[in-house]
Amino acid sequence: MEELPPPLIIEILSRLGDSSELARCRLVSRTLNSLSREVSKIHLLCTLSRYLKSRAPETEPSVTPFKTIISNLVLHRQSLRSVSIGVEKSLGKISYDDVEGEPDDLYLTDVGFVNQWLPNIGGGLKSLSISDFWIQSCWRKSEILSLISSCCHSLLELQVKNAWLSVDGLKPMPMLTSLTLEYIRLDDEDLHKVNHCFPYLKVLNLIGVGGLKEPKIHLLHLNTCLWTVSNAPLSLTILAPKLVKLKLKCIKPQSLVLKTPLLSNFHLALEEANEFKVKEFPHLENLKLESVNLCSLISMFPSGRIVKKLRVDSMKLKMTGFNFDMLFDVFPNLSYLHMGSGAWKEIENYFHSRGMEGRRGMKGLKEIVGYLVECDYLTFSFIFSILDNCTNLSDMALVIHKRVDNPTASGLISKCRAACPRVRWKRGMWIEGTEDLWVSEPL
Amino acid sequence: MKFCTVKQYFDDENNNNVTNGIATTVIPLPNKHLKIKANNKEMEQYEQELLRNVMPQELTKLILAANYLNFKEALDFFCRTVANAIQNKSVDYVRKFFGLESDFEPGEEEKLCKEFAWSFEGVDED
Repeated sequence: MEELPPPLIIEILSRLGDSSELARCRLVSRTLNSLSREVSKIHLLCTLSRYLKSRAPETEPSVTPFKTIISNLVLHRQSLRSVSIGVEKSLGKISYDDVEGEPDDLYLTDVGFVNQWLPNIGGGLKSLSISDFWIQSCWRKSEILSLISSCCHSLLELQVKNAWLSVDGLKPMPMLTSLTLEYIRLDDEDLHKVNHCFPYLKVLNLIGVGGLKEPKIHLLHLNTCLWTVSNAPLSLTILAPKLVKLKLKCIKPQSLVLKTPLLSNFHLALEEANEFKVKEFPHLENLKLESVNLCSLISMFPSGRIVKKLRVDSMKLKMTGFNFDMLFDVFPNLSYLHMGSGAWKEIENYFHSRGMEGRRGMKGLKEIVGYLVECDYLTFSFIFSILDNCTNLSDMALVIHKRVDNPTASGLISKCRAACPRVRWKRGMWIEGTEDLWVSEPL
Repeated sequence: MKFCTVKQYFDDENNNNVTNGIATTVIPLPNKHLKIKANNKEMEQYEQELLRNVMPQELTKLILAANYLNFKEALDFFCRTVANAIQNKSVDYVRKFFGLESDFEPGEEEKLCKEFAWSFEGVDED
């Protein structure tokens, strides 16, 4: 250890999980004590166990208040570049009924608290993240955005979760390039203040942000955007001339307006859209569509000719007339197709009642990934028809639900391999809630 | 660009910074990295395999080697490994791991202990 020069020791210390680990290292030796102070980030979450201890009468007196720990950690640390504080995700599950009184101890977006330490270190801070405790923050509005915009002129990345935020007093932050708001009630109905004060954003994540009415994202430098909307605002608009990657999840917006000419990677999950005003996407290569009504959504989609990689899935099973031929009418130049279990089922059922005509575009398809919920004697005939039409297919992966027994699943793959040995076959297994598993077949 | 320093090392005959044993561990990494760059899980498994045979003291040498060769991914990996090894362990464990002794003045250590009492919840036994 003595051989390691200080900069390398700091590299190791910087990779410790969180600041309590680092604090313990300070007690190891003088060297580690002084080098710990050089680590430029603070990362501390209030764990469930700490929370419970602070509420239990036996342990409560010996627990240092979380806010005190933070204030002390940040003291005199002008060299700090990154601060990330919050409560563990598990605390989000605590219900209102379990809480007595109106405690403040974990109300982290409280301006009074943050004002004790942020002004001192704000000047050099590049990244700030606060994950608040919903039960203590949801019923009062916080002016913390105003405070952050006053203190943190070099901030590049800001993340706030589980809070009610006001935009009063928010000043422009031209250095900010990444903003994430997750489970926030934001008092900026149309996002006007956000657009005005964060004009140079490259990354914007609005996940479960409520309080919006006719939200319009208008950001000239935006490159990546993730927007999940859980209620049903009247309209959603995105004007972002440099946007390349977009994930948009909404339910039933009255209208959806997208002016994003450079978009190349688009993931859209939508239950229904009455008005879908989408200009051409001349660069759209990678598209993922999830909907209750895939048939209707696909037929509204422009620029299908450019899409090379397509993923589709149905959220609820509804026979809408969605079928394999139609897919290639709208997307004739696909090289990769990924069908979620809902989409596969819809397409397969259509095939069994109306067959498959074939389309020229099918000859361009190189790779298919399909998720199957069930596997019976008809499944093979459907796959065979696909193979018959997609004559240049080189890879096919079938991810079969766990409830299908191994011999059946294995039997299907063997049959496929025998019918079409030039294709590289891969078999996988899926079940809701866990990661997919690839199964290696014995040769 | 990763290979510039490696070439320099081979050209430099009187090189004491990187012993042969260490070199055989570090140098194959760039190739493996390129091959399985896309698949993080495979890389993790490979890294676990690699480390099974490495003693903590050797990690220090590996870190120095990676630093000398200016190989950022390896440096990150080895530093992370050391950090993971001392995660959630007692102060004594960390001292033993690095072969360090407490060099504090008598009152100093107590003072620090008090200041950081909050960080001692949930620590593993040795």
